[in-house]
Amino acid sequence: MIDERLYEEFRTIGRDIFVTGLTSSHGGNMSVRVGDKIIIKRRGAQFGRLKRSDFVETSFEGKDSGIVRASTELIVHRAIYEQTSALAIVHAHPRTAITLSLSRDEIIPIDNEGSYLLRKIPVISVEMASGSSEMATKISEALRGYKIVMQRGHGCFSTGQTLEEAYAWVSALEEVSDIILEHKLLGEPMIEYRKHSDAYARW
Amino acid sequence: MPISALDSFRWIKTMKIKLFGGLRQKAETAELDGSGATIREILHQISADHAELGEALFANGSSDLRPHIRIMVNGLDSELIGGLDTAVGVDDQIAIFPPIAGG
Amino acid sequence: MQGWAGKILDINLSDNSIETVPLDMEMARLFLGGRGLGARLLWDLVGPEVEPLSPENVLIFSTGPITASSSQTSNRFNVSTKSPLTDTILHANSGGWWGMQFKRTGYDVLIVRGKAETPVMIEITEDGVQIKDAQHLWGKSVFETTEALGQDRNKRNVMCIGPAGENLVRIAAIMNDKERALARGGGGAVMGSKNLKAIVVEGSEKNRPEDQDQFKFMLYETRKLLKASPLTSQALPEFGTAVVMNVVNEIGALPTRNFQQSQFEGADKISGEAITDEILVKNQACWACPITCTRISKTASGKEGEGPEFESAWAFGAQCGIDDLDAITEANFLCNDLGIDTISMGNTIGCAMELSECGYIESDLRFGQADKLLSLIHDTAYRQGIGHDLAEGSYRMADKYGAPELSMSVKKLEMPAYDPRGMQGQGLVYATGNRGACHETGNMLGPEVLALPRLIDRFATQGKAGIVSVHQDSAAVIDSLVFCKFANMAVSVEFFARTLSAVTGETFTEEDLMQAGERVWTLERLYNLREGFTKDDDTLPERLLHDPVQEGPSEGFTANLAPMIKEYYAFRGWDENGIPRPHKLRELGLDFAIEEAYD
Repeated sequence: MIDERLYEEFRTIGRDIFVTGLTSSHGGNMSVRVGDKIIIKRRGAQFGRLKRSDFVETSFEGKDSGIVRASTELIVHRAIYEQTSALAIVHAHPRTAITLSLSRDEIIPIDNEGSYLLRKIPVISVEMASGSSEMATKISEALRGYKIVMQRGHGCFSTGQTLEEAYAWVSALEEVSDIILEHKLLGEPMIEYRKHSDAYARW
Repeated sequence: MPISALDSFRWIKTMKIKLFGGLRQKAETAELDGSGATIREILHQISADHAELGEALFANGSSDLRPHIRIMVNGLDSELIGGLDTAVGVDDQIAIFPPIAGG
Repeated sequence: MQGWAGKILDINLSDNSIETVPLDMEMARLFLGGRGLGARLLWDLVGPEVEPLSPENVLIFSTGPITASSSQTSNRFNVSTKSPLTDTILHANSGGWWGMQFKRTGYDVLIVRGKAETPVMIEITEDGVQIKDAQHLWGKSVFETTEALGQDRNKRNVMCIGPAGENLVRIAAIMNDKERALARGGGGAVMGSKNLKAIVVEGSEKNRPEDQDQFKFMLYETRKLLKASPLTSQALPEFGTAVVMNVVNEIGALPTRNFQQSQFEGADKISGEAITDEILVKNQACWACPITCTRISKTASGKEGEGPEFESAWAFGAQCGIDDLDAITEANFLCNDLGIDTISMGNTIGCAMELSECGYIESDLRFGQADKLLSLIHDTAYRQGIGHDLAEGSYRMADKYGAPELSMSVKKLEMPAYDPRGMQGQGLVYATGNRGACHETGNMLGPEVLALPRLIDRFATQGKAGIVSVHQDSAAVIDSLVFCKFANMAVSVEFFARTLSAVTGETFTEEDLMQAGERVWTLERLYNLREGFTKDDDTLPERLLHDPVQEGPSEGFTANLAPMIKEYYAFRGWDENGIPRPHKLRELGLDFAIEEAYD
C-alpha cells in the first residue's frame, strides 16, 4: 500500500497534468524513488483519476512481480534513476512540444520565463519509441545534463527531487512551446530583448 | 451607540499577526491585528490597511502570494494544512515570513 | 592555468622539506578539488593508526578548479585532516580571500606534514616558498597575528591560529582573513600540534577560463539568477543568516537550553531583525561575491567585527538561555580572536550550564548568565579552570562528569541550531554526517522549513532518505569545486557544471557532478568505517530519541530515526550495517578502496 501523503501527491499532480492537457487520458507515467524501490503508475491507469491501487512498487533489479503491472516504460525510469540523482520522474505528452520536436533538434525558449528556467531542451530520436532499451539508454544519458528532454514525436521526460518539481518542468516546457508556436503563427520578426540568448543553443 | 451584531462578530474574530524580516518595515510594526475566517481573508484585510505590506505579499493585484512568502499557523506551514483557505480562529497564532535564507 | 593548476605543494615541517608534486589529473577529474580531493588524499596519507595531534597527521588545504576564476563565489576553500575532536575524517570550509590568493600562487593543494621543532610560519610569495621562524608570534591572538603579518585584502592574505589552537583546544578553529573560519572539528588544534602558527600567501597567477565566451555567458546568467532570487538579492544581504532564527523558533525547532526545549522566548532579541535594528554597521562580501551576506556589527563597547551569523547567535543565545545580543556578539568576536569554533563553543557552554544546574559540576554556572560568556571562552582558549574541560568539547566534558548523555553531539561534534524532533530529516542529516552532527552537509532547512526548492512535511519520516542523500551529495560537490552554498539558492548544480566546463574546457554534466558528490560522500564514509566507526555511531542523543518535546508546535515528537536510517542505507546502496556494497564502490570508481573497506 502506498503512503497516504505520497498518494495525495501523485493524485493531485496527475490530475493537474491531465487537466492542463499535458497528456491524454491514459498516456504518460510518473514514478518516485523511495529507499531502494521505485513506485510507478501501473499500466492502463488514468492520469487524471489515480486510485491507491494504481501504483506498483518494484525494485531496481526488477525481477519481482511488480514489473508485470508496471508501466511499459519502467525500463526507462529505472535507467534514469540509475544514471541520475532524480527522486521523481514525470513522462508526459505535451502536444505543442511534440509538434515542435518533429522538425528540430532542440527547443530554445523565446519567452522570458522560459529563458530563466530552461534555456534549451534537447530532442532525442529513438527508433523503437516505447519501452526499448535504446530509449532507456538515450533518455537517461540526456537527463544527466538537462532537467527535461524531449523524445521526438513521443513526449518529454523530466526529473526532480519531488513530483511537483518534475511536473513544473513539463508545465514550463509546454508554455515555452506554445509561445514559440504562436510566434510562428503570427509570422512577425522577433525583436530580441535578451542578452546572450544566442548562447542558449550551446547550453 | 449600539454595537451591531456584525461589529461584535468582527471584534471576536480579531487576532494577532506576527510579521518578520522586511515585512516589519513595510507595515511599520512587528505585530498587527487582523480579522477574517481564513488566512486569505486576513491577508486581504491587512493588505487593504497597509498598502506597502500588501505589495510585498501579493504581486500587482494577483490573488496568489508572491513566491517564498511563508505563512505559519501555530507553527505549522499553511501550505501543508489548507493553503490560503485554511480556516483560522482567534486562538490561532499566525506568522508571516518574507523570503528568507540562512544556514 | 585553466581550472586546475596541476600542482601540489608538499611541505614537511619535521625536516623543512618543500616539494612541488604534480596533481594526478585523473584523480582531479573524479574528485574535483576542495573537499573531494582532500578526502582522496587523506585516504592515502592518514590511516587509522595515526593520532590526530601527532606529527603523522596531515593538513590538506585544497582549492578547486573554479577557485580564483572570478566566477561568483569562487573564493572558498577547504581543509582536510583527521579530527582531534571526533576522530573522523574532517573537512572544513571557509570564504574570504585566502583560498583565492593561494590558488594565485600557482598551486591547487597545500599538504603540511610533520611537526616543526619550534613555532614556524609558511610564506608563499613571488620569492618562493619559505618556512620562517614564528616564535615572536606564538601566543598572539588571531587579530594581532593577522595584522602583524600584513593582511591586505586581496593582495596578501593571512591564515593563522590563535591561543586556542596553540593550546590544542579540541574545538579550535583555523582562521583566515582575520574573521573567516575553518571552524568545525578542531583543525586549529592540528595546526597547533605542528607548531604551525600561520600561512601567508601572495600570488599573481590567473585562473583563466578555457572557453572565454561560454564563461562570460555563465557569469551573465548566474548574475541574472542571483538577482532574480529574493533570497540572494534581498534576504541574505539585508538581514544575513540570522534572519532564520525567528522562523526556526516559530515552528518549534530552535534548540533551547541544551536541547531541553524547542522554542526560546528570547529568539526575536537575537534574530537577524534585531541585529539589523540594533548593531549592524554594514554588510560585506567575500571576494567575487554579489550576495554580500556578511554582517559587520558594533557592540556597546565600541568593538566592530564580523558576525554574528545564525549559528553563532544561536549557540551563545538560545542554547545558553541568553537573549543579550550585545553579549552574544562580544562572545563571537572573542572566539574569532582566540580562534575557536563558535558552534562548538556555545553548545559546550550550554552543556556545562546544564551539568552545573543538575549538580554534576560543582559550579554556580547557570543558564542565562550572559556576563560569564567572555571569561568561559577565554578560559577555554587557555585551558584554565573549567575552561580545561570546555576545551575538550561537550562529550568528553560531560563524560568526565558522569553524564555523557547530556552532550548534544553526534560522533562528538556538537549539534548546530536545529532540533531534530521538529525537523525529522535534519535528524537523519546529523546522524549520518561524515564529520559528525553538521548542518552544512545536507541542510534540510530548505526543504523542511523554507520550501526550497519545495516544501516537504518536516514531521514525516518516509521518503526523507532520498532527499537527504541528494542534498548530502550536492553539498559535497559544491564543497569540492569550491562554490558557496548560498549561490546554490539561486542557481542549481546544472549551472556549476556548465561553469566548470567553461573554465576547464572539459565537459561536465550536472549528473557527473552529482555522481562526484556521491563519490566523495562514500569515500568519507569508508574512511570512517576504516577508523572503526559503525552503524551504532549513526545515532542521536538519547534526549532526542526518547524525550518528546514538551510544548510548542513540535510537542509530542521525538526523533524517529530508526526507519529513516533503514531507508537511507537502502537508498544509498549500503547493507543493513551501513557499509557500501562492492558494486557501489565499483560504480563510483572507488575500486582502490575495496580491499581496505572490507577488511
